[in-house]
Amino acid sequence: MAIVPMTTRYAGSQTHIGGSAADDAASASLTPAIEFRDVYKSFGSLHVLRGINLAIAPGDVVAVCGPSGSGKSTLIRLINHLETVTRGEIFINGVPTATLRGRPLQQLRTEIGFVFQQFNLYAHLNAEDNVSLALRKVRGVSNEKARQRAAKLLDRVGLADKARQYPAELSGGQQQRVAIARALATDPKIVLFDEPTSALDPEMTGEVLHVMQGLAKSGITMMVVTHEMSFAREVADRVIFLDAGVILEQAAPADFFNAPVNPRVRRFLKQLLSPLSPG
Amino acid sequence: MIRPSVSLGITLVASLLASLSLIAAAPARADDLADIKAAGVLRVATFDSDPPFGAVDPISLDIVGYDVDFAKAIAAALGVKVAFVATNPANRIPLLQSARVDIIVADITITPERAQVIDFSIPYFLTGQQLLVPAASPDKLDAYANARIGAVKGTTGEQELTHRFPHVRVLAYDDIPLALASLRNGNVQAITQDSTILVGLLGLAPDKAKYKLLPELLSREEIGIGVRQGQPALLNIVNKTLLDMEKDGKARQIYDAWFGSGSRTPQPRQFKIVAD
Amino acid sequence: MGITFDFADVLTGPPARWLLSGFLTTVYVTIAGSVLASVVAVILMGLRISPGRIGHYAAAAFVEVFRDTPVLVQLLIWYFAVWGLLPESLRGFVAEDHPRAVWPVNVIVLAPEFLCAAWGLGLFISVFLEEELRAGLNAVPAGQREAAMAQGLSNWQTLRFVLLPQALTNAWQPLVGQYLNLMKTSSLATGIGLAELTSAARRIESYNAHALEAFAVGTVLYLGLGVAMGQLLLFAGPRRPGAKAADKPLAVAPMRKAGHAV
Repeated sequence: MAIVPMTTRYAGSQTHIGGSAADDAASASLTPAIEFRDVYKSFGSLHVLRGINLAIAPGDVVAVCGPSGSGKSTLIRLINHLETVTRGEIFINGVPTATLRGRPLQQLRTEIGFVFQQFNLYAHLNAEDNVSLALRKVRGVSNEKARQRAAKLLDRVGLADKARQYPAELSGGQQQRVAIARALATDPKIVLFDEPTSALDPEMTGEVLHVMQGLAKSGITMMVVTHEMSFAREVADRVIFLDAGVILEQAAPADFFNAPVNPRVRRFLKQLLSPLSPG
Repeated sequence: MIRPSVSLGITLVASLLASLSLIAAAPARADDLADIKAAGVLRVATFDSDPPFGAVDPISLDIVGYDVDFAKAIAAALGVKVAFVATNPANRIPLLQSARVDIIVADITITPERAQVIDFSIPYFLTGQQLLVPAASPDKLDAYANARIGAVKGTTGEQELTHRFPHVRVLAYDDIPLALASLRNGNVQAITQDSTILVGLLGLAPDKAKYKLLPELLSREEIGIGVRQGQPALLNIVNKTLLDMEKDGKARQIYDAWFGSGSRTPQPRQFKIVAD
Repeated sequence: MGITFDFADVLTGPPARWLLSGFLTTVYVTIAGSVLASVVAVILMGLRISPGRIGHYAAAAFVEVFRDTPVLVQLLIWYFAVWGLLPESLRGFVAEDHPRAVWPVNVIVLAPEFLCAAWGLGLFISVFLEEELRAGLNAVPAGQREAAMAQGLSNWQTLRFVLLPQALTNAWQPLVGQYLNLMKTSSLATGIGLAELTSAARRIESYNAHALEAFAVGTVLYLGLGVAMGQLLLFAGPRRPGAKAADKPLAVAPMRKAGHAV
């Protein structure tokens, strides 16, 4: 997995770029799956993202972490237009997305899966229908084919026997796994995760993380906003640290966790790993 | 000083006893005529808000009307004064039966059901159901055999219509002005009510030129004076007075005063007061 | 001097015919009005939540007009004013005999009274249906819409397949109440000459003075109709999915932990 080299554009912070040189050379010419160019996002007078420059290669698994209010969720929500950029450009597979509306935007969204912190499963549909809805209505797939695909995906996340159950009858972990299956229904090459395990009881985080791990191995580009450092360490190819709307550090997990450059990152990690020690 | 609650209690008990005694005192009186003459006053049940039969004159604040004039004439013939008791259709007969009044002169139609409980004089007024139709509509009653006709709820209008025309469609409205609005709108092809009321209605309508009353009456209703049963003397003198009034033209005069061409409710006099 | 009841005079002969005809008229006008009300309510909903400003304001104005004026006045206006404005040919057509437009038992449906009553009642109740449905829609968690959008469903698809079904489930109880309201309000149509159940009871009262019996029977019939309608609609309506989760809210959405960034 390689990373396109980046330049430092803003004062007061540094970027730490990792990855092997050989990989760089091999894939320097690959179009990034996702690319942010100088992206700013504000809600009224509240500046949430400032000058984000980011490129993610196809197949990369990127973990995004940082303190609350850093703009992590906003970052990924911009990708499928759940929010819109205030300034700057986002490219998906080299195609600018800012001006997309209507049909083309719907098409784009079918190519990007999204998994929410609160699952957001369609409460009035059972698991199978949840997974197959977009297939049937947006892609126009026949009911039977859609059902088969849904069954396959539910099997993949380990819930084949829950196809007819309603979200209200499933545990949090099960719901999130159905949500992941749903996100995969239209066979997207990019899947975004917005704190997928933050709303789960600790016992259920494991089952979801396992599914995500399986996904990572399959070559899908993943961008995961998370606090689960174990996932970042073991599954991600790259970890991005966001603070106050600015990327402070980007590195491979080994470098990020063992030798972070940015003092702010160091503080964050210390807090995370031993929250009770004095500050 | 009697406490208010006690005096209220006494009043209530007194009224209760009084009304009970009224009910108990619905007796066959020996001779009403003698009693009236002895008392020097004829008590008459009449309407006070049903022009032109009985209504309150806005200036003098007396009750005036067709019925009132006839009642006054009868009192004069008996040589007594007259006292009016205002009533409504539901109360007329109970007032007479409980001897609160001596006669009913209140636009009361002679019907077999009523004749079982009170006695009627010879009729002194004739009315009936009429149809009000647009000016350009047919004149003959039979032309409306299958029509949609508006009537007023609670009147005998609905029943009379279906007796004559079994296939007619009756629409019942809350009051006659609404029925007229329906006619204007074209929702019905005619409306029906007592002829006097229709005349009054048309007289006040700003677009009266667009409508006409069909002269043929759907039903005949004779209006009589009500007296208690078993009072031949009183009944005879009432009937005699009515016949005399017809003979000397007084009846006609009263009619013209209230239904003549100069009145608010003009309609030609299609009857004479005659003996049974 | 007790009160005696004489139901025989109310339940036989012409009074019985009037009661039956009146009852069925109430049933038919309730059905017709309910269908119209539902259709108009859906259209109003569409306008209300559409992005267009004009549609939004038009729908809001419509709702205010029909919600803030007395329904009896509305019925009187439709029947005594608006009907007269329709073209003569249309009014003449309706006034003619149409043997096929007579529903059992002897209820003439193609008549100005019935049409204006169904129309007026339908429009009146439609705004209440729409408001209940909108409340139901607002109760659907925002995340449902986001999930649908994120999957590429259009606005209309989101509404149709994700939001409205849940809105309907949320609002079903109050919606049933509004349909019952329509049934009860239909008694006001006696003021525009519709020969429905209330007018039948009044007619009996003026026919043989059995006021107590006539209105008692009328009340029982209304009550029976209401109970039947309510049960039928509740049975036929959407249920909350997942029998075991009968007490849980519709969308299981754990609370956002405090402090998480947007």
